[in-house]
Amino acid sequence: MFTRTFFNQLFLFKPSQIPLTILSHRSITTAARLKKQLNIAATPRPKIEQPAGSDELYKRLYVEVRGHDPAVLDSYEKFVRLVSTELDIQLTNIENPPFFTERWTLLRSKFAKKKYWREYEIRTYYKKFHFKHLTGSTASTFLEYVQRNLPEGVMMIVERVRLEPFSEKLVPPSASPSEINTDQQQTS
Amino acid sequence: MSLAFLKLRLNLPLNNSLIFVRTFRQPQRSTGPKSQEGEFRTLQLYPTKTSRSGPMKKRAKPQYKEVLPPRYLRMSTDQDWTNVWPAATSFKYSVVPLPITQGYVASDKENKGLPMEKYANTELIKIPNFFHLTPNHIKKQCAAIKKFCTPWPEQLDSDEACDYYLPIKITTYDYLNSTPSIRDSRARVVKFNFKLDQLEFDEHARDKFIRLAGDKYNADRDELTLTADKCPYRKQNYDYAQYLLTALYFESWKTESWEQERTKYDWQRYFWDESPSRTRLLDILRASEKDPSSVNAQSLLDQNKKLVERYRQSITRVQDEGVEYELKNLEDYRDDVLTLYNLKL
Repeated sequence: MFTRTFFNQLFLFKPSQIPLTILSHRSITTAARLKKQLNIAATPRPKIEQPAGSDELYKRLYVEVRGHDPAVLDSYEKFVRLVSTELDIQLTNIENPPFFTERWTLLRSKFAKKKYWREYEIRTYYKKFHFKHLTGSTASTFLEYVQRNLPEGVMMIVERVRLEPFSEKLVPPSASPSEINTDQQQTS
Repeated sequence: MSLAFLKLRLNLPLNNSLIFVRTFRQPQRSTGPKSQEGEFRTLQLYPTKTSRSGPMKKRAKPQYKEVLPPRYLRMSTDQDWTNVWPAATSFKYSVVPLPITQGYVASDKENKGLPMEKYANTELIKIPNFFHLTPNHIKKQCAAIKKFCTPWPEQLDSDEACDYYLPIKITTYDYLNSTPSIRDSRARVVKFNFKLDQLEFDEHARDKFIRLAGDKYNADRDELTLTADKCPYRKQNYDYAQYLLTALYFESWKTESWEQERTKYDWQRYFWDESPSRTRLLDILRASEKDPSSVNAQSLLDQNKKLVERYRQSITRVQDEGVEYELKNLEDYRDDVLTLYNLKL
């Protein structure tokens, strides 16, 4: 497994992953693309009813676990796979990013003895579960069960991507000030 | 007490219980000549006068309590493991019916060269175990919590449908770690991500929106990303991002007075109607007329409407489009100029 240490992680990023600042670079192709997009007509917004207290909708859910022992994480992966089949949750992918190792070279002795050193290291192993299309109650049920059974010494990071519509107020402003006044009177 | 060793031999009896064969070594920690397998053992919380064995000695040897034989000896192979190990606990050698070993043996002198058994093996106690999460456990517990799950709406089966009905994607993070504090300040970050499809713009508004957004706008996907992390709480950051979106949208529809001072270098696309190319063309066409001052600009252009239109389109394309079709655009421009002035190369 390719290790990522403190120093060599800078060189692991491919150029495509480094974000390009489009407008400041003024590259010709992206500027040309922008010009084409200036006259796009807006697609009409569908009407959606979301009554108060309705479930949230998560398009994606990413659960990343980090630990020092890869065997523990593998056992946890088996557990999560079975839970997702039992609760009918779509587990799309399980990603295994390379482990990160932090190393120190320290003196072996308290005093003098500069010739003798010791190497220490701490390894952090990663595992990321990708889920999709969960409702709020399903997600909270699943996450609570999975978090209660998280082994000792394992960290979890949950990334949720929630879906929401545009606010109905985001429409082009009306031209005449009299209409604006009547609107304000009606709302107040 | 010496380390005891019981040899396990699995037969297949009718009543499905394990049968053990005792070797010549001492039985595991079951003490005293009085207790034997199967005899009723009386409860003795402390030594009494009658329980004394042998004559009184000056320094009494420590009397060990009778320890029951380990529970795994009395387990059947078809028992319900979920009842034996209901919750997460540390490893107990007497409850786990498996012959687990753990440890490295360097030579034949260490433990007679044999692997380290589970009895009093602290390494097995230290590591996390998953005896409380066997498939039977998981099925039972998931069946109990399944009623709290709700189904995903059928209309949102694809990413495109999600983008159409609910375009804004809001990303939030939660952190779970076993540090002394349960707080993590990274959890305050809220990210808004959406396409500009469903927002209504005119040309000026869209251009102003994109300029105001700056780096946050991705031209390849026509997406805007707002990351709010200024405030200490997630709800505050969410409200701030909503406010930002609203402010961006309505500001883009406003036209400030200083926007009229825009020069050719600030144009978002090539406006031929305001360009020096049009004035030049008019000058040339006017020069060919007999009385230059009396002729109207619009009528001059209308006379050669088709050619002027083609010329306008080709020069706009040269200015606007990028490197991809550069050669073709330049060739078209050259051809249109030649046809406009009726020249031949």
